[in-house]
Amino acid sequence: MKLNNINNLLTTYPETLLKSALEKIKSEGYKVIGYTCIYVPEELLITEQTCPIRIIPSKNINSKYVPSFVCPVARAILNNILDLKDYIDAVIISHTCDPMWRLYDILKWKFNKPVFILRVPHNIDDTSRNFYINEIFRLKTFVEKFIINKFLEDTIINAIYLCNRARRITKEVYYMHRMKSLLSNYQLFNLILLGFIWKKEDYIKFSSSINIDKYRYHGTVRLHVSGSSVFDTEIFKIIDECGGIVVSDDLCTGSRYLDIEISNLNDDVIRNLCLAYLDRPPCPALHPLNDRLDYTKTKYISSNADGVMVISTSSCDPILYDYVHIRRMFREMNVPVIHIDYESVSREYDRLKTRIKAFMESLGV
Amino acid sequence: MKKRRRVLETTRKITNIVLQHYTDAWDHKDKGKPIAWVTVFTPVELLHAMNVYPLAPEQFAALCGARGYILEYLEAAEREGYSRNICSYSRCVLGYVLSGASGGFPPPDILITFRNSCDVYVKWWQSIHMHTGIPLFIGETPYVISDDDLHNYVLDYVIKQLNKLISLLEERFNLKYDEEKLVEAVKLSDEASRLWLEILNYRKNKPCPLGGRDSASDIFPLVILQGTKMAVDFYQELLNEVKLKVRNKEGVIENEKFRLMFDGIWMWYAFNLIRYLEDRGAVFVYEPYSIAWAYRMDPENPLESIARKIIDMGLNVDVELRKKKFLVNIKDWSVDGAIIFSNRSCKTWSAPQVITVDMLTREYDIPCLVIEADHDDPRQYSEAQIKNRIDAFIEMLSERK
Repeated sequence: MKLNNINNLLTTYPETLLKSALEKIKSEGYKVIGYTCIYVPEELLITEQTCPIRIIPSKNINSKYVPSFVCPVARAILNNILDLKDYIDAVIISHTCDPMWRLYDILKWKFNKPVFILRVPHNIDDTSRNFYINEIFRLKTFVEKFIINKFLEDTIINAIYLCNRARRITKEVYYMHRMKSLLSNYQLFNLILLGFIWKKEDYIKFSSSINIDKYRYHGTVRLHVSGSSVFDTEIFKIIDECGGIVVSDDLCTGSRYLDIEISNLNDDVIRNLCLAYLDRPPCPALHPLNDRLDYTKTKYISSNADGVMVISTSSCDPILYDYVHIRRMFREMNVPVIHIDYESVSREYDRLKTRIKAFMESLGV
Repeated sequence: MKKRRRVLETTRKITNIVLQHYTDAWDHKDKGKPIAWVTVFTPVELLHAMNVYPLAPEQFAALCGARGYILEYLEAAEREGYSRNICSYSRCVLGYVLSGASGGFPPPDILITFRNSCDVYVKWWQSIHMHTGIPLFIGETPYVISDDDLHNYVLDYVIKQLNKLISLLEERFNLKYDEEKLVEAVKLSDEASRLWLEILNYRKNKPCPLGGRDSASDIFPLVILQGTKMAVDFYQELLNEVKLKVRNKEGVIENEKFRLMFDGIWMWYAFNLIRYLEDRGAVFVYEPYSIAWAYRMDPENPLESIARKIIDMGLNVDVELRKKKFLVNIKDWSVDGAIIFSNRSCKTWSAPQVITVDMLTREYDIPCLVIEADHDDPRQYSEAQIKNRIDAFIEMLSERK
């Protein structure tokens, strides 16, 4: 792929590519399974007949169905599912936080195609692991009943290889970005989102063709970014403009998605897949919080960052609670922390830029 | 002319019951016995049976809102960094903890929550745990998507967690689980629920004998005293009074014109709004919130019954099941209109309210008024605006009569 094309794609807000991605997948004869969260195992949904797409939120956060004080991400995901319903054959919602849970209710009412809710346990222990495995088998039955005829063991193993490879390549790009600061933060996090909306084979081809040395971004202030799912990647554009480089993160649209490798394909494949998914670094909505704080701290220390930026929408409950504890932890380590919250980055661009710039300057790097 | 009292005599006794509850909790603490802070819809029957005294800080937060001294706690939490966008119950309780206040209710020896009403419970209880270091138990109560879940691996999962909680309480506080005591607690809980449902049924009468001001207070024993004789005695007395009112054709107000449903948690600082409605001939006769607290139980299978109760509560069930629980029989209450409270603090209740509005208007021909505020933060309440909307709604209801 030519550098210009790659550059164009990486500097295009991924949501604007969602429709064309869906069109392409449909034109290749696949059924599209939309999903909303990284606790839904993509590996189970990649078959000869189906292609999973993580539904990223619309730029339009206004909803006629959901009140404005409810998370804009949930509102905007709902908008995209309803706007693009002609391209989506089924939707899988995972219950991690209240807005996503209620999204299921609204979709059942408004989206006249199969909708599944994956009940992710909020406390991780052996009892909940077994429950999650039961849930994944229920998901498998749902897919077999509504979408395909039967899963084949070989298909799942191939899908696992494919997803492992896609994540590994992205991690390499991330590593190079961190070491050399050539790709911008905006490009990097757009790349990760592209991995959610493109067919895995296409994504692997695309991300493998990125020659990071051709790029010329030089951020100087090293940041750890903490949060849940940051789809509004324009926030990273602001960090670029302020001279920051994201050297590590604990995001569901970042390292929490990438830091998983499904191994041990010899025994019970689906069980191993479930365990890898549930035992990944915990989502901010889950328990125990200390495991998440440890993960964040380890990430921060190993990246040698100058400061920590917690990013969330202004109504993301899990982060709004966690921020108090994250701030306390880092303050005890004498690490500067800031919380950047917003409804829509593009609408609040100047305010956010002023705040981020002031934080960067305070780091004095 | 003698002015009719709008609150039932038995409802007035709630204040004493609340005081007694807190006094009993302090006595329990003084005797060195364990106190648990719980979120609501935690199996308090089990705790009462094990001699662990349950306290629901949510109720304390509601009380703070109703009595007008919530702001100092809300602000204490906000000073620590908690956003105004999170639940005001949780901000109040976190503020109470962070400000080092004492005397309201005894400090806990354990924190217990089951995530059934909302996911915020997990974050809220985690936060108290982080600030205090008090041991924490978080139980999962999966969303019920069909009646099958009340019998399959979902139920097993919840029972396993209840057993885990029992073991934890036994080990930590040197207690012994006694099934006979649990059977007794479940019997009492079931009886309290039965009585409450009977009371709510009497609200079908015209005029309605029990209004919104009563029901908002009367649920107190169902929340935290389930499994005690105190709860049963209260509801028996309430039922007797309600029956008498019905026999005497005595309603909440003298000239009942409009019968209303209220969807949501009441705004604890704004009980005057109920009076405002009653002055215009409107009385609340039905609230899903009131029904949600009652659950019929099976003393023969106490633990299984408790597990079912904590997953099958109103907010934790699928839209169709919710409709079956709360809306299918609504016509029996002769509801003229519904006030839908879009509650900034309770996203889990408010997010799907559009479905409730759709069902009420389309399937039951019940017009709805949506009002937006917060259940416990008076700073997010605009009285004039809400009264203005109510006036318009009442006018519209008059046109329909």
